[in-house]
Amino acid sequence: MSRLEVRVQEACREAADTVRPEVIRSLDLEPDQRPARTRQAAATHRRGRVLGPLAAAAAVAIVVAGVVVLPRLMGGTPGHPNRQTHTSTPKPNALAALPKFTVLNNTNAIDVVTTATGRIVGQLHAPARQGFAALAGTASDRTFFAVADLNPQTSCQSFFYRFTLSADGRPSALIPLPVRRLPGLPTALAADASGNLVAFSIDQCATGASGHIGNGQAIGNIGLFDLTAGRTIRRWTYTLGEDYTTDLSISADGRLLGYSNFLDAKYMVGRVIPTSAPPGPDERYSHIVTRRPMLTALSTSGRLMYAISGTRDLALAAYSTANGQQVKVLRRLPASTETGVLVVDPTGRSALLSMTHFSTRKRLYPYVKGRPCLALRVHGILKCERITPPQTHFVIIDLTTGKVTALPFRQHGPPSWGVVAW
Amino acid sequence: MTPRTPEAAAAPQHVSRADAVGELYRRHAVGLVRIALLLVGDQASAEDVVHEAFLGLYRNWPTLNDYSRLVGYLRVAVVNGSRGVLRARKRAWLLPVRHDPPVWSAEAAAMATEERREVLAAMARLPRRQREVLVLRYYAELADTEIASVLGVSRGTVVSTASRALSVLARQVQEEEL
Repeated sequence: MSRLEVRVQEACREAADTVRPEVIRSLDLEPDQRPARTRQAAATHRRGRVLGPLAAAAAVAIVVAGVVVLPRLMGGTPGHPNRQTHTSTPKPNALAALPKFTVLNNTNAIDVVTTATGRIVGQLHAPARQGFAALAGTASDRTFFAVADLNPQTSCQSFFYRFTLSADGRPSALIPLPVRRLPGLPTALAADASGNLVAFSIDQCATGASGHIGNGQAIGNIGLFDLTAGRTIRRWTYTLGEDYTTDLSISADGRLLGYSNFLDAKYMVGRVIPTSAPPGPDERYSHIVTRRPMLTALSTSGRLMYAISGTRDLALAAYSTANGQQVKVLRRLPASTETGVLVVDPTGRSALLSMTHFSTRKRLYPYVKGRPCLALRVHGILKCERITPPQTHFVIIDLTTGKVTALPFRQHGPPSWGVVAW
Repeated sequence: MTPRTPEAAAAPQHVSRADAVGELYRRHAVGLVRIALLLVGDQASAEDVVHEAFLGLYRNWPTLNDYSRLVGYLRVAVVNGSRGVLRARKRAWLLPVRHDPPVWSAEAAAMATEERREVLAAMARLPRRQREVLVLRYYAELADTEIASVLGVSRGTVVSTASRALSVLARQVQEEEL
């Protein structure tokens, strides 16, 4: 094992050893067992600690960064964090050409936000027992798609919806797409400019609810709905060592799909596949545009693939989808950047990036016995680390000049896929 | 008469369902709670997940057709249950709720080593499946084929996911990449 693997193993063992066998609750099995303790009962049991330790841990290394590093990235003056999700620091000139509305996924609801002001103008709740997983926009800035899965994931299904916005941003009801429910968990969604073609990626999840051990070998697929025909017209399966994609994009004319996944268990690659390609393994019909990207997005024309890549320092660069040649480096990003989603706006002039920064810098305060804190020893003295939940920032990057402008809204939590659409 | 163990290949006829599941719980609950703890972060939630898994086993007992794979069944249920907990928490970011100290804090009693705490914090930031693979491989010490069975993916996917996770982790804990 490498040194890192040993560190992982030791850390896991130390944490796991905190579970002492003698304090584990006994299992209460009555002869006439009712169908399970309900989720509601479980929620009551955990009331007051919903925001769990894992989330807190996620916050730890991201504590300071959003305030300190983002202004440096943008070359502007430092802002200060706002307690609200949606702040108000618009730059009208920079934002005027952008889509009027941005939709944000909060899992249990979709917020419709005025891009220039950050004001929430509409909200759309997920159907009962479902959570939104990913969103996609079209050229109209009024028609959007969403994919949801069960929440909690009691079974492995994907549900596809369309919704529209009125002129003032109020959303319509969710309209189920005229396609069959699909087994698998959704990981990405994209739509062409017209909204007639919707591409998706689904990932097979572990099975066991029926008492059978999940043993499937097909890990998922990318598919394509033709909504005018009302059916799935293509499926390309993930094969061998590939991982599912979370950054699917499609050219405005619907002819080309772009995405990233793993190659030979070694590194990520950005790929394109013509939507006319026959069904089958995606590796067979796609070709690689760029290697080792973290995120990709196709240009509206499909001629370029934008990719964020790099291990030490990150860069957003454009690559030709025809030959993989790097056309231009648009923007360099600090190595501490964590990215979530890259979305090209329907005009093709700018891209929206969700991001935050992690930092190893710690903010400490004295430990007080009995007061909850994230404790650590510094030179033998117990200290607490200040926990600030991370926030996802949204910036736009001019795809001609590389100029970065912050959007006037944020989202609680670390950056994630599927959170935003134009 | 020696009761047949729950792991016997055929359905145990000589012990009641409750006894069989209870015996499995006695043998495997601690290990499964520890796996769940590494996925969800705190013991209370981890115990909930494991209880749900055993209750699911109890309910599905009459329909099970391969009693040699009960532990595998439970691992799958624990992984799925942990995903459900994490999904619920994702929504809870919007709520101003105090949380229990994480397992690697002093109040939760235990992690003396800051370096290890950092590794776990970095693991907590990994995507769900990457975290699952690391826990199952380096804590549960399952073979890649067993992990593949638990997660319902191919062995190649396990290898690629682990590689990807270690690569990201190396960057975050400033370890030299593999």
